[in-house]
Amino acid sequence: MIRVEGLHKRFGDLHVLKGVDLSIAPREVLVLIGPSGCGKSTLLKCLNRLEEPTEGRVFVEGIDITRARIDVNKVRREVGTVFQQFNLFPHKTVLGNVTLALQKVLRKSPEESREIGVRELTHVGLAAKVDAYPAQLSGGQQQRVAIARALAMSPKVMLFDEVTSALDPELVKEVLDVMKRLASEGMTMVVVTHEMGFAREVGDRMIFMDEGRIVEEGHPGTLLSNPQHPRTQAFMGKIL
Amino acid sequence: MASQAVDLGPFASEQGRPSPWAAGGFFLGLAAAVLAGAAIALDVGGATAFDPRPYAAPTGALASVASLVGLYQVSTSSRRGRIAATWGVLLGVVAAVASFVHGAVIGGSLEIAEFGTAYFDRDILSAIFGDIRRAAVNTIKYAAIAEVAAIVLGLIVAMLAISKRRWVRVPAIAYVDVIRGLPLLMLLLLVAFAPTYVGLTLPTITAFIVGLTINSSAYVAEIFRAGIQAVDKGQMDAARSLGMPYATAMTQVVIPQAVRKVIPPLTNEFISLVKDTSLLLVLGATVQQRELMTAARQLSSSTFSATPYMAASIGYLVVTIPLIRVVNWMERRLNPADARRFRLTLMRREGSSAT
Repeated sequence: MIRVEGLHKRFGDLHVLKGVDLSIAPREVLVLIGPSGCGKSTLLKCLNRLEEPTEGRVFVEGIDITRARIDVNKVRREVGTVFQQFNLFPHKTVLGNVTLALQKVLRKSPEESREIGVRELTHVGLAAKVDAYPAQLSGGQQQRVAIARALAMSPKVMLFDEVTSALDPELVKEVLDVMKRLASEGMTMVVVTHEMGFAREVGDRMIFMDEGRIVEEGHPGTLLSNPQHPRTQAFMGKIL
Repeated sequence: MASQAVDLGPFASEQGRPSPWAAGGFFLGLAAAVLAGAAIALDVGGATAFDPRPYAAPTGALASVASLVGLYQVSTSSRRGRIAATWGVLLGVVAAVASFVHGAVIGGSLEIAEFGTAYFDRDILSAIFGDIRRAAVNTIKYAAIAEVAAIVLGLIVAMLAISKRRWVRVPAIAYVDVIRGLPLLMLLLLVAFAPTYVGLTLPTITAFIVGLTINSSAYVAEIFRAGIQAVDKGQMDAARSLGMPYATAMTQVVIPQAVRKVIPPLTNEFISLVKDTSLLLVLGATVQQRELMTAARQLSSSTFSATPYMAASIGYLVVTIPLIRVVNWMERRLNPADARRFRLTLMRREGSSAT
């Protein structure tokens, strides 16, 4: 589904990703963990070229998306992204958020867009809020709208970038529940998170990153309870 | 704070010691007011033992300065000290101005009646009213045309100025820098007179509006650039991650949010433009074309009175003050904290009317 080869990313003198190789199988839920600044969010952004990789290649469904001639907008239709800060469009209603790209990118009719939008919002339990504005919703509700917005494009992969980190503790569960159901429906997912319980329950594979490199990977249960690398052990010691 | 041992009184300074400046300013202000009152009483009512006239104005000036220093010292610490110093400034200024004007009137260099007719001659006012009204309409017309054109041009320049491509961005930024760096009058003269040397004749008003537009477009471009960059970067990321091309993301997501932020500064720019139309005076205009400043100038020399200037000034204020109030109102609404307070006030009002 996704394959990354020798990925490097530099911001000026700052070397954020120092050669990352990984592959993600269809229907797999891959969890990325690591200390802040280790490059997990940058890695995620390179998977749909929101950041340009400095070096290395990224294949989505066998297509090298780092090629200069690739239509990056087509790639992004296949890869849904959910952000830590929700990034809903504040000037659009909930439904407007979900249908904007359907109309402007996929050129669907307003009626069809509305149908898809209502369906996706019903899926995340927000059918009653279609006409509300983002500012009128709780953080958890906003994040569920953001998930519905990404899902409306029928992506093949979903990227989740610390999607519960900006939420009040009591709102985390409603978002994780949506993600769990998505995983059980067979969505391919790459999840950057600090929710270890979620990672253990839902993740098929876990990768621990530090200083721009993959340090250790394995089954979440094994990696969490029995880390092999000293740096992984130190990290687990701090968070558990 | 409650356990403070010594009450430092109304003139306490920030350091906790009494502020001699605030105290001195206050009492000097009082003295100046008394002196000025006595000076006026002397000329109105007749003899007193001592002639206070030479002392009133300087005392008032001293009081103002001392009080200002005192105000600065106590501004953060003592509310009562602040009040005393504020009164010192007010009394000082009023006393100084009153005794100065009083002296000018008594000395004969200022005739109140003539002063009044020079600035407010009713006969002249009614004679020029039609001219001033037409000039006011022209003022608004020139400013409005230039504003609309400047918004179009400024938005284009702003889009170029935030481009990632250097060869697009650099000329746009250079344009803004050059235009902002030149006096508007220079720009107007360049636009108005340059074509005549190559045999072109650009109508004065056209050249004038082109000049105004070019000047304003640079400021409008800066306003748009700041407005677009004030929209959270995550909005662009979210739009692009849904597969929207850059232009679609700009027009559908970023610009609609930027517009809300730029309306107050754009209104300010319009206020500036209204006032900048006064520079038509230098280019010259016919009776039909002239705006407030040119009309006032020409009418003033034909009537030998300052009344046209007063009338034109009122004309400017009638346009600008409502706009200034609207900008303030919009800025309050756009500030989220104030907006919340605004809504709360409304809710409270509704609640109280319901009970």
